Amino acid sequence: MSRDDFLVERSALGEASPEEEAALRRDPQLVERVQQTEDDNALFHARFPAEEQLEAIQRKVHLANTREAVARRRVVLGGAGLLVPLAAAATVMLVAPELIVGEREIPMETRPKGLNPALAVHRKVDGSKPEALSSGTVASVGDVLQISYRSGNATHGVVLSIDGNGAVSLHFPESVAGNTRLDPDGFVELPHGYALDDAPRYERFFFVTDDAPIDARAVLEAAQALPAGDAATAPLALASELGQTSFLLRKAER
Amino acid sequence: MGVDIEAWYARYAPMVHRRCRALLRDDEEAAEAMQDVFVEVVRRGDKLDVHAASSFLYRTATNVSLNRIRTHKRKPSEPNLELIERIAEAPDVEERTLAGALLDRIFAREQPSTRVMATLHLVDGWTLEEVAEEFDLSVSGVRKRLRTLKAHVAELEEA
Repeated sequence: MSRDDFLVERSALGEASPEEEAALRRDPQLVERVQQTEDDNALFHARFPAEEQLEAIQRKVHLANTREAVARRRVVLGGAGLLVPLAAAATVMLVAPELIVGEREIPMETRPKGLNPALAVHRKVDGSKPEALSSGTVASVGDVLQISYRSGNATHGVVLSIDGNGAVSLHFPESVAGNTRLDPDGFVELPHGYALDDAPRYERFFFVTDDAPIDARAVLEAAQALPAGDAATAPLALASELGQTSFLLRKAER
Repeated sequence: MGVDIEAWYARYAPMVHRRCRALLRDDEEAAEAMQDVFVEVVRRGDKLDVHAASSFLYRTATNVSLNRIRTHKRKPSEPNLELIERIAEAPDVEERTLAGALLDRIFAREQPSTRVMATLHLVDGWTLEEVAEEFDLSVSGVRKRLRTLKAHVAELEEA
């Protein structure tokens, strides 16, 4: 990158001042870069057609507006928002003993009606029936996992995991801009298996749910914001309207 | 005067994508970032100064890319990889509360980003005068902001 980048762009757009244009014309390399930029513009529009991109942009605008409306309500409610971190802290204290003994899914939120959203994890073993794992199970580097979700009474969801190094992986949707709508039929397998890497201590999966589209990026950010010491136990700091379930796999010591 | 988003996309999207790609070095990630820049355009709507479109979009593309580098722990482009990463990790001097940010958005107030200033000056090689002109600030104002950010960058380096 260089200070000429923006000048080249403005020249290609026809927005450089006469003085800038005159200076640019004295440098053959810059003249060539302007020509390349104009050529690149045509290639860009072939790769990223306006109709398709503008649709994606409008979807993101809708999500951002929804998220902002929720935030605005929280600001208007004032002190009510302060209850969220306190409630979250209480949850950590309650679930931490369960994690010490392990073997069970962490109940982070109980929805009042119908089936709760849930995650299931199976370990794929060559030639054998996949092994259903319980939260707290010890897994090893190279284990291939199949993640499934049950949407329960939620319509939208995000599945991600965080490992002992603090690395966050998005499993559903496939990209942060992807559609978060869940399949309502029983346990639904995610399209790709997941091989455990050599990150230490644990791999923790989160299933975040709602009855409206979810901003997957905000969920990723919340996972990345978890302090390293708490990532195996703490809930994600998200709006209280969102449901959360997590599933912890312990990593075998090597 | 409102923004004709289709016309803006046709005219400026390639520039926005190139700027994002230069910082992120990833075509797909740059395409996502490019969309995010136009999300800003749509949401600001009539409040945008349409006479400074390329300037606004270039700065916003820089800011969105820095946010992605910070959020996704992406590795930015070489040869300024470490410098860009440290700038992205540094808090913006203007970072404030959620409520403050929300009010800014409601009233369409654009806060000049020190991280964007730092990228233009330290990575792209813009002079302080050029940065000051771009952001409609005094040179000493820019210098002061960059000094604060450099202190954060130094702290990150020592950490």
